Amino acid sequence: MLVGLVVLVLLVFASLSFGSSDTTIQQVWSYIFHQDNATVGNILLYVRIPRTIATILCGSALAVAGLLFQSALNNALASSGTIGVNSGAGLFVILGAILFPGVFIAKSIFAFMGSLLAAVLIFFIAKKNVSKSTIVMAGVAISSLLTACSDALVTLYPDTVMDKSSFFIGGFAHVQSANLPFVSIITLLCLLLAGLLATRMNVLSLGDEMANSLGLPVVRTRYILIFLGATLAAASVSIGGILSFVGLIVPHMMRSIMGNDHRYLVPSTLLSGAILVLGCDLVARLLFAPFEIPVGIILAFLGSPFFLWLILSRKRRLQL
Amino acid sequence: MMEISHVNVLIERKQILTDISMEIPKGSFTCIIGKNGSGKSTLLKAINQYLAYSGTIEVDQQDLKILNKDARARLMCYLPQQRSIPNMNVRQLISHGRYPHLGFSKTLQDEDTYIIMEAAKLAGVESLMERNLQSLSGGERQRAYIAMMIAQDTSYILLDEPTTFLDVEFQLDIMELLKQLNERGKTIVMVAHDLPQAFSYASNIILIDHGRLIIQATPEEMIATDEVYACFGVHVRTSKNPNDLYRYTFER
Repeated sequence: MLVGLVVLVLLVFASLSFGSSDTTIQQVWSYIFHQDNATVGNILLYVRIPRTIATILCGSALAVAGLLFQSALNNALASSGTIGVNSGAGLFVILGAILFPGVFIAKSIFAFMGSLLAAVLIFFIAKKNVSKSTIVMAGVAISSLLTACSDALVTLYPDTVMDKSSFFIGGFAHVQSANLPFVSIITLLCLLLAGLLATRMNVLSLGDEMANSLGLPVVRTRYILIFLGATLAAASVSIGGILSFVGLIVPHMMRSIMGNDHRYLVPSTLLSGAILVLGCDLVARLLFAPFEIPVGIILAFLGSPFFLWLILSRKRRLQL
Repeated sequence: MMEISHVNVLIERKQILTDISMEIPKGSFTCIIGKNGSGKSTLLKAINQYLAYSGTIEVDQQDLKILNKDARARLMCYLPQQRSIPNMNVRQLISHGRYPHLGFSKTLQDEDTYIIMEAAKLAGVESLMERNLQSLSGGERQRAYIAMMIAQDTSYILLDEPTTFLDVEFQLDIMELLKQLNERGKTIVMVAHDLPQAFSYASNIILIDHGRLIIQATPEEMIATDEVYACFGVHVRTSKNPNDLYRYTFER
C-alpha cells in the first residue's frame, strides 16, 4: 500500500510536469512555487490538474466498481466493461447529450440511469442460477445491444454536442475543471461506502447460504453493491468516456497480491486503479507527443491479452 | 426448544414439505434421516430462513420469521452441504463466525480474537490458522467450518450432511467433535445419510419421507418400529460385534 502511494505521488508529479505542450519541468515547478508564468499557470490549472484529478477518479472508480460487481455477482469475470454497464452508461450519456445538450449534470445522471439499467438486467439474469460464464456472455450480448443503440443514436443525431471518438474509446483530453466537483463528491462518497462494506463482501464470498446463516441480508447487500458499482461506473463514464478493462485487470492483480480480504482489497484496488489509468494516460500523452492518443487504446492493449489469459487459463476457469 | 408447526414448502409449484410439525428439544443431538429427495435439506434450509415457507418455526419462543437476521444468527448457525471453497485462510474463515456479534463497523475486538482462538483450539485447527482453505483436506476444511460455527457461539447448530464425501476417519473425527459440542450444551440438528452413524450419535431421530414427518423417536424407540424398514428397506439393529464402527448396524 505504501509503495502504491509513493508510485501514485510520483505519477501525479509526472502528470503535472509532462504533456503535449513544450513546457519544461523547470517552468512547471517554478510556477508551482512562485506563480511566475501565466501561460504555464493556465496549462496547469485548466489542463493538467483537472486531467490528473479526472484520471485518478476514473481509475479508482472503475477498479472499485469492478470489485463490487465481482463480489455482487460472485463472478471473477464481472466488471463494468464485461457486463455491459459501461455501454449502458454510454448509451444514456448520448441520450442526455441529445435531450439536454451541454448540461453536464444531465450527462452524469443519464450515465447513472444507463449503468444501473444494465447492472440490474445482469443481476436478474444472474438470479436465474445460470453459470458464471453465461452471465458474462449475457453481458457481452447486452453490451453489444446497447452499443448498437448508441451507434444508431449517433447516426440519427450526428450533430450531438460531444466528442464521440474520445468518448467511445475513453480519454481525458477534454476534461473540464467545472465538471469535476460533482463527480468527485459522488465518487468519493461511493468509495467510502465500498470501504464500509468490505467485511460484508467477505461474508458474501462464503456463498449465499452461509452468508444468510451469518445474518447478512444477502439480496439487499447485492443490490447495494450493484448500485454503488453502477454509480462509480457512471461517474467515470461521464468524465472519461468508456474505458475498458480497468475493472477487470486491477481487482485480479490485487487479489493475487493481497489475497481475498476485501478490507485490504478495496483500498489497494482503489489505489492501483488510479495508478493504472494515470500511468496509461501519461503514456498516451507522451508516446506520440505533441500528439496524443486516447488512453482507452493503451488500456485495451493491456486489457485484451489479460482478459484472454483469464478466460483461457485452466486454473482460473475452474474458479469461474 | 425448537418448535416447528404446520410448515409447508413449495418450490417452483412443487410441494416439497407438507404440514411438518415437530419439537426439537434443547440440548438434544437430533438427526434428520430420509431418502434422497425426501425434503431433509429443505427442512433445514427453511429453519435457517433460506427458503420461504408457510407455518411457524419458533426457537426459544421466538418466531424466526419476525426475528431480525443478526439476532437469528446469534441464536443458530448452519453449515450447508454444498458450498464453494473461498480463497481465504482458516483464521479469516473462523473470524466470519463473529460477524453477527460485531457492531455496524464490523470490526473485531480483543474478545472476538480470543473467542476465535478458542474455537480453533476446540475444533483442532489452531495449527492450520494461516493455511488457505483451498489447500486443506476435506476433513480439515470441515473442521475449519465447524470452528467458524463454534466462534458464532449459538445455542443451535444446524448441519447438512457434514460427513458426506469424507474418509471414515474424518467422519468419526467430525462426529466426535459434534458430540463434544453437544455435551457442552449445544443443540445439534443435522441431516444424516449414514443410518448407523445417525443412530449411534443421536438422542433424537426424525424420519421424513416424501416431504412428510413419518416418526420422531429415540434410536431405541425407532428400531422397535418398522418405519425405517418401510422407508429404506433395511433394518437398523444394535451391533453385536464390539469391533463394529458404530453401536448400530443395518441389515436386510
